[in-house]
Amino acid sequence: MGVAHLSQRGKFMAIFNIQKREIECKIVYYGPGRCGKTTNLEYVFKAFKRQVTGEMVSVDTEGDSTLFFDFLPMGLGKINGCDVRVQIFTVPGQQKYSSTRKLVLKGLDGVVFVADSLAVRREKNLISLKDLQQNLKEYGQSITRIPLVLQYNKRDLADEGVPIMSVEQMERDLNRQLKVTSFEASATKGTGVGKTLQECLKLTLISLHKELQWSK
Amino acid sequence: MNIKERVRSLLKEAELYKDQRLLKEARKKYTDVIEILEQQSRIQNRDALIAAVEKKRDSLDTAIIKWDQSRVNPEVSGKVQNLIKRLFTASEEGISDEENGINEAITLAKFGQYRQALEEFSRLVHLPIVCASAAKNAIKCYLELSESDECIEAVKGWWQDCCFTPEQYASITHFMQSAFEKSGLDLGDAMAEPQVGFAGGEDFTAPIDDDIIDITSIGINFQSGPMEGQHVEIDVSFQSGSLLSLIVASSEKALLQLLLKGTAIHDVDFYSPIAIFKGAAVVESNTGILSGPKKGDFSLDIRINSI
Ligand SMILES: Nc1nc2c(ncn2[C@@H]2O[C@H](COP(=O)(O)OP(=O)(O)OP(=O)(O)O)[C@@H](O)[C@H]2O)c(=O)[nH]1
Ligand SMILES: [Mg+2]
Repeated sequence: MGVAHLSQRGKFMAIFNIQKREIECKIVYYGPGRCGKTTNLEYVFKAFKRQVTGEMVSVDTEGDSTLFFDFLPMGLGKINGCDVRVQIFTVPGQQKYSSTRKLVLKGLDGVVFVADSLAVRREKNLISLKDLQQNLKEYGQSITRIPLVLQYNKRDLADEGVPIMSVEQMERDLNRQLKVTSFEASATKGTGVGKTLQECLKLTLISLHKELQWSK
Repeated sequence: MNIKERVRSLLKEAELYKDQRLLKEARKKYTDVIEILEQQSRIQNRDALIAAVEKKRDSLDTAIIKWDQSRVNPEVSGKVQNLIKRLFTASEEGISDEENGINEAITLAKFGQYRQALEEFSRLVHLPIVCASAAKNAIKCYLELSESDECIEAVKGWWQDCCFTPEQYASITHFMQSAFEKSGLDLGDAMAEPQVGFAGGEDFTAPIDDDIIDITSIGINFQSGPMEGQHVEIDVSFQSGSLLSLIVASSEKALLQLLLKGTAIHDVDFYSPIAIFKGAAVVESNTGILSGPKKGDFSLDIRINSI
């Protein structure tokens, strides 16, 4: 038996193959429709060519909203003697895709919650965070325990003269209880995108390391 | 801000939201502009301006309606379907290719790819070890596709092709009856009477995956034997449909002795995030873990029989 029992992708467990010393984990970008999840991943695909191990696949609609998911495979090389591979997904954020959203979330090891800085999207951010919490709960996971980072996206729009929320307000709205690391970003320009993902990967790997007791 | 500036800034906002396909937000801004203009009697060519903004708003309305009516689960390309199967089917150790085929087709059905899923179930129906499960899942797909007549024809055809034993056929038609009822359809006596008696409440051991809720742990109440009166709770480490995997420490000798392969457990509490269900289960395997952090402990697979 080469694969430890814990290895199977169950409800929320990375695939860990002890004999081959491989670990495969799943990161999901969550957030309201049109907040910039796909744009984040597109930037990662372009900017982290060395870590990207395959094509980015987007299953989207005519209006370029995500229909099922975006998918990007990455490899981080050897960490603690283990080959670490990462599957990154984005969920469809639009309200009507709630059932697919839940399917894509299943089995995740870490989450990036992308919030939209546009003032008109304030309520949608809140609803989406609540939806994340609820879906995690239904998979027996807790939003307070899962590796999670927040990203306040579209900061560049401040220069366009459209109303955007201050970071303080977004912290109050979304991070008062969670108290997780948050980043300002502009996914179209690429600022903050790498930092967000790196922090999420770091938290996820620390958590898996504890859970799977993997060491040299 | 004077009126002109206010209108200009609202229009700019609306255009930006439109570019980001925040259609309803853009629509709201156009409406705000129209309302402002309507209150101004002194602006030159006011009516022409209002008409122009209304036109923009109308085209948004068309886009919003189109969006609202677009399908949630359209059929996607074969390439994407294969990716969905690969990415979202739980990889299980020690299951046969046929069972894996069933799991993959179930994944497709969950993503609304009923046509392709049906094609795969219809192929799997001809393989004895998964025929009943394939047939039941195919029935669900037919109903999702609103093809109840085709469903009846297909099941009859499979029976004539000797895909099932009489017991399986009885179980399948029973399943079909209730699936039709759930869809508000009357199966009537469209299906020939099965030749064998069928005891109601028969166990669906097939992976009718999406009917089973997620179970996080189980509690076993021993009603007799050496652990009579005791209640034991065990976490579920992995779930695939009605099959639950548990890990029991090697120190739990008495418990392990009672949960040997093939043992039926009559009084089980299934804990899910939603509620606790009472039911029964059977131990499908009980094997020692040979490597990894849980080495020496035991891995048990138990199948939910009823819930
Ligand atoms: N100005 C600006 N626009 C952005 C930014 N990020 C995303 N957008 C725009 O917002 C729109 C939606 O971006 P997507 O990446 O498709 O959003 P999403 O979260 O994947 O949306 P769904 O798939 O519907 O859930 C697009 O028009 C993007 O160009 C940003 O940082 N700044
Ligand atoms: Mg998207």
